[in-house]
Amino acid sequence: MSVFSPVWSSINFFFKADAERTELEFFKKVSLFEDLTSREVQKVIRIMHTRNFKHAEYIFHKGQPGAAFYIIRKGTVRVVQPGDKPVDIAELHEGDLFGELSILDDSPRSASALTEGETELKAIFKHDFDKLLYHEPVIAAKVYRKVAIIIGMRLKITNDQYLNNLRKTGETNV
Amino acid sequence: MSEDILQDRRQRTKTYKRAVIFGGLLISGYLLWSLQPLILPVIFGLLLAYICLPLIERMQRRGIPKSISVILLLMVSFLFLFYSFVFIKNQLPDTDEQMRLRVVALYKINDRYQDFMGIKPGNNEPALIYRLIGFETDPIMDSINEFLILKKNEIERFSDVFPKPETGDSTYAKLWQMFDSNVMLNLYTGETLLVDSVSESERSAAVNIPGKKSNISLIMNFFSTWMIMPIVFFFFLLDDGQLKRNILKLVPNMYFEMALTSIRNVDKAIGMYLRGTILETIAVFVSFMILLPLIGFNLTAAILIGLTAAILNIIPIIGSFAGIVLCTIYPLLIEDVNSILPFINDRNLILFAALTGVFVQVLDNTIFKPYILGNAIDLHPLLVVVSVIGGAIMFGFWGILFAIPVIVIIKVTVLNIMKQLKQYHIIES
Repeated sequence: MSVFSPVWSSINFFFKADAERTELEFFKKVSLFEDLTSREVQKVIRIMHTRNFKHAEYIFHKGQPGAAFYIIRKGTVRVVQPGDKPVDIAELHEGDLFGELSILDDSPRSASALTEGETELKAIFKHDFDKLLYHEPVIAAKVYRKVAIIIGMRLKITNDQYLNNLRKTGETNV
Repeated sequence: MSEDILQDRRQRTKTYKRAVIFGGLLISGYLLWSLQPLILPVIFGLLLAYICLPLIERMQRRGIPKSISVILLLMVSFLFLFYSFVFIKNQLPDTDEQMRLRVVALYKINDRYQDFMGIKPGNNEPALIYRLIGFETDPIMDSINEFLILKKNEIERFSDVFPKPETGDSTYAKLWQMFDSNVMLNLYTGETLLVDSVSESERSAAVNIPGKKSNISLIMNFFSTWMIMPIVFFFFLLDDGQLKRNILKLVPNMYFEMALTSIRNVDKAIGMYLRGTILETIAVFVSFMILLPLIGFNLTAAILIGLTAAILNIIPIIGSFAGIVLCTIYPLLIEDVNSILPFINDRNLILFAALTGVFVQVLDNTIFKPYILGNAIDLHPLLVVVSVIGGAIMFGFWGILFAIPVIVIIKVTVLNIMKQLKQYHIIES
């Protein structure tokens, strides 16, 4: 370790702490915030809540009002359709986001989400996010564009899956 | 790790958590009790900050940084409070003027009481109403008279400040006429002269004329514990959501989203109620400001009475009644009425003043409240009375004033949390 390292770390503290920089780099890679500048991402980070979950803990249940969306900081999340035999819809990992439909409307959750192992999530409250977008129209334009792209991509995947199912049952040969 | 060890660890964790919660509650309770004088300034600072939040947001939208906006607002609020304090203090009567007003009020109240009850000297037969309720009203009148009559040591000062007129001099002739009449007043419940029945020691404190203090020293005395208020106001407005995030850290994951929504809804409802209350108070104040001078009140008196009545109006039922009573005091203190309405004179001004008070209340209840506040303040009258008395016992005047806003805030919070608990299926609907 260099003799200057304590001095350097003190100087560095004034510019940007390492942890803070790592956070920033991480969130810049999250699909929803890809188009944002570092300054803009920092504004989003300021409204985030950190939540730590144990294994198999429910984050939200199907039918509950959607008040927030989440970004996985560490760990894994399973999105399931509840029932006698819960059906896995998706498995999400570090950097993925879920519950983002709550940004758009007030409809209840369409599925349940639970953790797989110890998980750290970053939660963004819908109304805090709305408020930020209201005050920062440039961020709003970039985020809504991204939401449209994400939803469009999901629609494409759903269409493909639907077509595959039809092909399997022989209802179409397209 | 064996199941027993895990079980032991869980048990220890549980015991530790319980001990921390119990200790925390005990310390919080002790601190709350010991720091009782600070509770009100803190509440006041928080309420004021709540009211100012939209203003800060508006300034931020115009490109002014948050810290600058908060400092600007704090300075403007302080200047406004300082000048309001100085204005009100200058308008309030000094000790000499209070003596003059007491003489006039004592004379007018008794003149009207005797006239109404038919017991003026020279009247043979008292009115029917006096025969029915006179035994109840006489002791009340004696108490009012004992409060208003000048004591023997006050009379000396009165003679110095308002010299008895020589023949032909009419400066204080009317005032001395009233004074002489007051001195001859008997107790209604006995044959003793009123002036003799009041002991010299009573109200001696009122006669001591304190040395004049500067406005700043008076304000500093008042704000000794209230210095915490601008600090709370400043930091609450400056907070960038950190306070909320720290509170939410304590909430279990299961209730996280529900807590987020509840905090936001409660915040919105309380903000709307407080800002609505301020708007309503301004509307009531403006109504008094327009109507009172119209019936013959002087403008300064209209401002003071209007302001006090509008502030008291925050307290439902009791405040409305106090506002009407306040309006009727002024006609008892003035000698000449200059109303632009020709049918109002010094004999019927009291009636018109009371009608004005009632009219403003009707205006408030039919127009201002429904449009500005909606049904946010839908409290049972019994709850209103109990809270106001409770507030008075705990915090005096400020307790009376803030009892209802605090009850409304508690009501809004509880109802919102209940609604969210049902929506999140945590409790049965």
